[in-house]
Formats: sequence, C-alpha cells, structure tokens
Amino acid sequence: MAEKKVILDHIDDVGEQALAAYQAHGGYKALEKAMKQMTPAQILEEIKVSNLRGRGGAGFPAGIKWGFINREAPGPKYLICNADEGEPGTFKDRKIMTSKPHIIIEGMVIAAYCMGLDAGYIYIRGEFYEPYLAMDKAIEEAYAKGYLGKNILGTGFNFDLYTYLGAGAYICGDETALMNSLEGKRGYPRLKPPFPAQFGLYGRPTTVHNVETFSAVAPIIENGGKWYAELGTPKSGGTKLFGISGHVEKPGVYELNLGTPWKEFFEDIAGGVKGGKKLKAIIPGGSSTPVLLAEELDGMLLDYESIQAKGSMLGTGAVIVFDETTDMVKVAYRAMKFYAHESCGQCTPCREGCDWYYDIISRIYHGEGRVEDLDRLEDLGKYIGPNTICAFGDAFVTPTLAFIRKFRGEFLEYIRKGKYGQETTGALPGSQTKSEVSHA
Amino acid sequence: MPEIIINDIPVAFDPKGSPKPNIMELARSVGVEIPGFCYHPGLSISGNCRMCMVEVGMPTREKDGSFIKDESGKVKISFMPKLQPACYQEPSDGMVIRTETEKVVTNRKYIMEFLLANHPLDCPECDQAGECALQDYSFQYGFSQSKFFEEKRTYESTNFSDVITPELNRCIHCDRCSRFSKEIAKEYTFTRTWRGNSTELATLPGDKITHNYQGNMVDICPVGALTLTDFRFKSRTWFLKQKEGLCTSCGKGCNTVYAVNKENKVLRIKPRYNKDVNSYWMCDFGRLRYAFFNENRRRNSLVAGNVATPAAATEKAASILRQAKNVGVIASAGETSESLQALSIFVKDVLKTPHVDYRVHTAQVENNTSIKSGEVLLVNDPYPNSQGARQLNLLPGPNGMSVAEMLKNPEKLDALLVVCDDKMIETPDFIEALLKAAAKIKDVILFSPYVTSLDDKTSVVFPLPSALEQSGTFVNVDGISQSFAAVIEPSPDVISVPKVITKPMPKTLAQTVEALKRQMAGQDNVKPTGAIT
Repeated sequence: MAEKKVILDHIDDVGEQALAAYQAHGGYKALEKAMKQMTPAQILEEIKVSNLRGRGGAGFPAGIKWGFINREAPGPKYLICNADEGEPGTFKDRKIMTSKPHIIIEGMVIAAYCMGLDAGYIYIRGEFYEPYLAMDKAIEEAYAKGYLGKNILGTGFNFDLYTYLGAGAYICGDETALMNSLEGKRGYPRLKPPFPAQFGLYGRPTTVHNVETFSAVAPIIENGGKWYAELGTPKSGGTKLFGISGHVEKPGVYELNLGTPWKEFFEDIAGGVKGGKKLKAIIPGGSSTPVLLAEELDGMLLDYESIQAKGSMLGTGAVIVFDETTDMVKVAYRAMKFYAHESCGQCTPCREGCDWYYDIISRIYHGEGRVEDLDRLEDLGKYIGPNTICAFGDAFVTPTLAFIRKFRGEFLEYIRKGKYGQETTGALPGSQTKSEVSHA
Repeated sequence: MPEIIINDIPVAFDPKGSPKPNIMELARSVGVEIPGFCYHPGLSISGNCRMCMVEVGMPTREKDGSFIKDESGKVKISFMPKLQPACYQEPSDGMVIRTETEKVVTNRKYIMEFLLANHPLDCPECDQAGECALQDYSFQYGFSQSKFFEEKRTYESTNFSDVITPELNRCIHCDRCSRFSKEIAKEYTFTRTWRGNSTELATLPGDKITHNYQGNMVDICPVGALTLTDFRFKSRTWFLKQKEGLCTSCGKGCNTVYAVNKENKVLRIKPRYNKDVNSYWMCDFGRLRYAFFNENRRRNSLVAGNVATPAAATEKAASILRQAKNVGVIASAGETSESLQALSIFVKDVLKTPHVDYRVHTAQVENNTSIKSGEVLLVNDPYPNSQGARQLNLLPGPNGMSVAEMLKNPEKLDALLVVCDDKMIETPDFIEALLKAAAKIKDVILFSPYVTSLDDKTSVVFPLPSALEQSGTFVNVDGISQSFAAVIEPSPDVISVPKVITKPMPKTLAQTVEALKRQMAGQDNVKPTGAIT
C-alpha cells in the first residue's frame, strides 16, 4: 500500500488537536532537535536533501526558497503560512488546521529558526472559521509551553506567530496578493520582480509556504531529509495529501507517497467510481489544472513530473472525479462562473477576459451558443494568460480550453440543440483587421 | 554608462537615476512611442493596463561570461517568452527591446479589444473625444470590428465629487485617478471597490472627494470616465486653441495651457509640466478661476465717470499728477515685472513720492512664501508676482506710507493711483476700505482690467489688459522667473500701465523704460518645458 501517514499520522485521534495529544505522539520533538542539536545550515541541508516541494500548487523546491533568505540581513524578516485554501476541490489544509494544528506551528518555528525570521502570519481564508479558531487555540497553547514567543526552548530565539482571517477572496491565495491583503490593502497581486524573498510583507524579506509544506518540516527534521526523500520519487520527495471528491466511492483526504500509481490510489484506496459507473475524466490538482480523460490516466503516477507529462498539473492534489454521466459543459460553465467571480480586476486581460469567457460559456450552456464561440475562446485565450500580472489568467484559460478541446462534441451538441443551432455558419464575425478591409 | 537597444537605437541610461529609469521613458527619449494607459510619469507604476507590453531580450553568455555569437558574429539575444510591461521593466546593460514586432503589435490589438469590450463607444457625445488615448490607440491598433457580442457592463450613475462628473461606463480601470488621489493629494477615500469585472471607482459610502486637485484626475483620465463638470459639453476640444501660459491665481505660478475658443474666451485651464514649479499638476482653485478673463471686462477709459478717449484720459491723469503734491501709489503684484519696473521708475523718478506699495494681502506684508496648510501647490500669497514687485522695491520710501497706512490716512494724499486687479475685486474688505479712502482724496486714478464699484468715484479710469492679455515675466514664491506670452491677444481698447505712464515722462525716461524692458526679457527665465497630457 502506498498510503503513508506522515502528516496525517494519528490525525483522527480524539483530542489530537490538543497539545498534549500531539506531544503524546512525539510532537515538538523535532523542534527540540532542530534548535538544540542542529545549526540553521544543517536544517537547511536536511530540507534540501528531503526534496520537499511547495504543496500550494506551483511545486517550487522548499530548500531553494529557504536559501533565498539572507538570515544576516538587518531588520525584520517574516514567515507566512498560506492557509487561504481556495482552489476548488481542495480541502487538505483545512483538515490539518482543524485536526493537527501544532504540526504547522512546529514546522513554522523550525523554518523561522533556520532562516532567522522574526514573526510569522497564518493567513486563513475568510470562510475557514473553525480552522481559524483551532489555529488560534493551538497558538495560545504553544505560547504557554514556550514554543512561541521570547527565548524559545531557552535558546534565545524569539518568534511570534499570528493568525489573520482573510475576507474571502480566491486571489489572496497568490502570495503577493496575500501580502497586500495582510498589509490591509486591496488583495491585488504585485508586479514581479521583486520576489518576496527580497521585497515581501511590508517590503521585508519574506518566505511564504502552504500549510502542507510547513506540516512536512517537523517529520523531515525528526526522521531526516533522506528518509523523507525516499518516500517519493527522485524528483519529488516525500508524501502528498490528495483530496479526492466527486463521483468517487470513498471521498476524503489521503496521504500518499509521491509517485504512487493513479490506479492504485483510485481503485484500491479510494474505492473507484461511485456506484460502479464508468470513469469519464478527472481534474488532477484543483479546478485550475486541465482535465484528463479516463484513457489518459493509464500508467500515470501521482507526482509532479508524471502529471505534467500528461499535459496537466499536480497542483494542490485536489482530485475531482467525473463519471460517465457528467455534463462537461456544465462543469466548464460552473468552473468559469467561479473564476469570473474571483478575478481581482486589476489587469485588463483577466478583468475583461474572465467575464467575457463566462458570458460565452454561459450562453452555450443556456442554449444560445454558436460554433464560432468555441473558436473565439481559443482566440482570446492566447492573449489572456501571457499578459496577466499573476497566474490567474492561465488558471482559468488553460482548464477551460482543455474542457473545450477534450469535450468539443458535448459543446457542439449544446450549440446544435440551442437557439442558433441551425443557422450557425462557423465563420468568425469580427475577425477582420483594418488591413483586411478594402476601401478601394 | 550602461546602454540598452530599443528598435536598433542605442539608449544610454543611468541605473541610479531618479526617478528609476524604465523602458517607457527611455523609448520616449529617443522618439519611440510605446502606447500605455495606466502609466503616468507623475504617479507610481501600476502596470495594470498591459498595453505597453514589449519584447525584452538579453544577450546570451557562455558559462565563462563571454557572449555567444551567431555565424555572422552578432551577439545572440535571448528574448523572454512572455512580453513584458515597458512601464515596469527596468533596463539592464545590453538589454534589447523590440516595440514594433508583429508579436507586440498583435498583442496590443487584443489588449485594445479587451479594453473596448465593455466600453460604450459613445465618442460622439464624450467630452474626451479628440484628446482620448483610447480613441487614438483604437484608431492605431484596434480591430475594425468588435469581437464582443455579449451584453456590456454598465454602472449605475454615481456622483462622488463636486468638480468631477463621472461616466464610469467609459472607465478602463487604469487606476490613474485613485493613485493620484492617494499619492499626490493624500486623500484616501477614493478607490477601486468591488472586484473583477465589477470593479468600480468609488468613495467610501456617503463620502465625497474634497481635495483641491480633482481636476488633475480628469486630466490624467485617459478616457472620458471622469469629466470636468465645469467644461462638460461646452465645446468640442478640436475647436479650441491651446495656448501656453502661467496660472495667475496664486504665487506658485503653475505652468498651464489655456484652451481658448474662437471668441477669445478661456474655456478650460490645464496644467503643463514643469519639474521645478508644479510637476504635472495644478489646483482646482486656479483651474476654475478663469471667469475673470472672460467677464466683466473694462473696455474703455473714463474721466469723472464718463467715457473718454484714451488720449483725453491720459491728459487728465497727467494734469492731476502734475498738480498733486502728495501722490500715493497702490501697485498690483498681478502685473508683470516689466510693467512694475516701468511703474517703479515712474514713481521714483517722475512722481518722486515715497508712498508706494504693492502689499495688499497679509501674506505679502509678511512675505509669506509657504504653501497653504493641507495644500500641494496653492500658496498663501494670492498674487503671481509679489516676488517681482519685491525685487523691484515697490515699497514705501523714507516716511512713505504702506497700502494699509494710505487707506487709513487718505487725508495725507491729494491723489491716489491704484492699479486694480482680480484679487482686489475678490476682497470686498479691501474695496470697501478703498472706497472710503477715495471719498477723502481729491483725485483717484484707477487702472483696472475690470468694471468695479470704484469706477464712478474716481477721476480717471484706464482699461488694463487682463492677466492673460499681458506678456512678460512673473517671479514666483520660490524666486523662479517665468516669462510668458499673451494667451489672448489684447483687445485694441485696453491700454497697459507702461503705455499710460510713459506719456507724462520726459522722452529719455520713456526710452530708458523700453531699454529696461528689453534687458529684463533676456534675464534668467525658466523656459516652460514640454507638456505631457
């Protein structure tokens, strides 16, 4: 079985969120080890050896990110835990926060100690009220035990940790929008460079990680980077949480070794398609990753590279399962409705493009589509993603176009049955450019 | 100095320069225009419109640092796969920028398509038409047919200012206006609200923009989303002559452009860039205070309240001044230095009276050159040329009386020569004091561009050119001399101070005045620099 509980270990124990229960299973031993037996350089080395990659979606190697911070630089430096878990289909961080919050805190203190950071913020999405209360309670406990605050474990290291409840904007999951929001500004992504390691929160060097990434730190320190790396593939170390939902027999959060075969996860662990129906497609890593057809999943392994080779992304590990009865036009419509609602509106292509995309797909879904609408989406898409300030443009164009390309027949069916079905020509109005217009 | 190459043109730059160099400005400096909406040199860089995206490449290097060259021996340039915003992109030595490639131009076409998708295209009834960036770039880059077949976004009509009339359906969300509000005017109530495609400019609920610089938000709005209430539907902009000049409403001397219609009436004032004086901005007080140049003008001379020829009025004035023993002179710091110089010579060498003063306002008495509290440009001194008058020493001589003393002790004078201006008319207390004093003085000679309540209480009135009909020099509160030409051709009826006072002078003195004028015109004038809209 490739299910391996590192982060989820004992997660469902009654009272696990309490400090005592966490410590009964070895909690905060890694912190003691890191601060009393290891130098910051040694901690960094273990993280590098562990091959831990960011679990928020982009998969950036954590060791390299930690190495960006110049711990000797004067002035305050910050640590941020991105708990704005907003990607549709994703519900793994919520599980950790509500059931095992201390593993996040322990990881953050180790990270802060390693990089010489002064204060940390846990930015929690606005809708996560229970996780917010759980984190606050855990932080209070950690302060009482001396794991946070002044002179942690008698080492002279000081680190304060705060929670911050967002206002419910998907875009604040982008680290620079998150920092703006944390500063009290509008949650607009920043222009890059500079990157957070140079100019982050309040213009200071800042490291931002996902909840799950921090949760892996304590186990890595406790068991060694090599141990963690060997749980995964040579390029993607360790375990990853997968939240599987949709038409699946046993939905939920599972922790798997990276590189676990898809078939093993889906059939053996998650119990296959609900009600014994046929699998149509899956979204592998949250709604921003392109859909994969059932036949594309043959031989696919659950790691960053293997899913990328199939033309999609591991993303947040949020698997959404669609059985044979699923209306993919409705899926695309519902997903696009979400993106149109969540675009921050800062830059032109996304602000205008998002609603435009939604309008077109909505028309198709409501029986007012034309064949040329599909070409229009392809045409506009080329100029949205590459032109936006943050990744949001790509996040809605790529999956939407994947739906259209892979389920074109279903879209055409909607169009044929709709209002303009009989009169559709396929010609694209409005495509003439000035040079094409003859005034001779 | 490090160098970048923009469309094959080498451009040197100073990496430590202030403001930080960017591709947009470097391109502009060699005549390469990169289109953009959100970029404004006077504001922070927002990079949101994505119109200025260009190709950015860097020379490729071997591991040892040497350049990789192609067969022809040219250094190979590696271009970034994505276009980069020219407004935000910092130059680095050897960087290669391409602004007119097919990739860049096609990208612009699509950005225009996105911007125009929800724009109402109501140019025929939009005040901005003719000076609209969206219109111009649409002409240059837009597709001839829209690709957008959906319902356009509309906003409920809103009102957040007494100076600005918003038409938010035209807004392209470049955020120049709210950045201006925060960064320059330091008022934080105006911002973008909501999000995504519903983003809407607004103030906090129930709030209004109250700062004195709102007109600038209209100026920098690249479209017609913010229109100046005062100028709304007054004229098509292409029927207006744009004349460079100075604002005369305070001592700052902001550089301006006056829009003048065919009837020689000023319809609008906009600021003009001058890095030493007003940057890109001007205040609403100065912007909206142009009625004085259009209305209530005095067009003829009066003698004892009756219309007279200029010659008759001059003759009468000369005879009064010849007979008077104690003459008082109230000069106006609204006059040019050239005019004041002539008056100064006339007072000191011809009238030989110590009772001369220009200090009508307390700020002039205190020589207060500071900016008013809470303001960005507007200064305490309401006069455009107090410093010029001060330099020319138009101040009481030994035993001479100041303005306040002359008004308090009119019985000590037999004649009072007053150069009246718009500021005095705007100060009823002063006019009242002047009226009271005039009643006790045998003869009052008044020079005024406007019809005033003093006119029939005086012996002689001369019609002066308005501030915009003069040409000459003003010295601002910071001691900067600025020369300017007449914005409006002076009407043939008006007659300037030097013209009147040269008449009773000996010829040689008149010649001296002329010579001085020429000399002054050549002094260290700050030449107005080019404007950026």
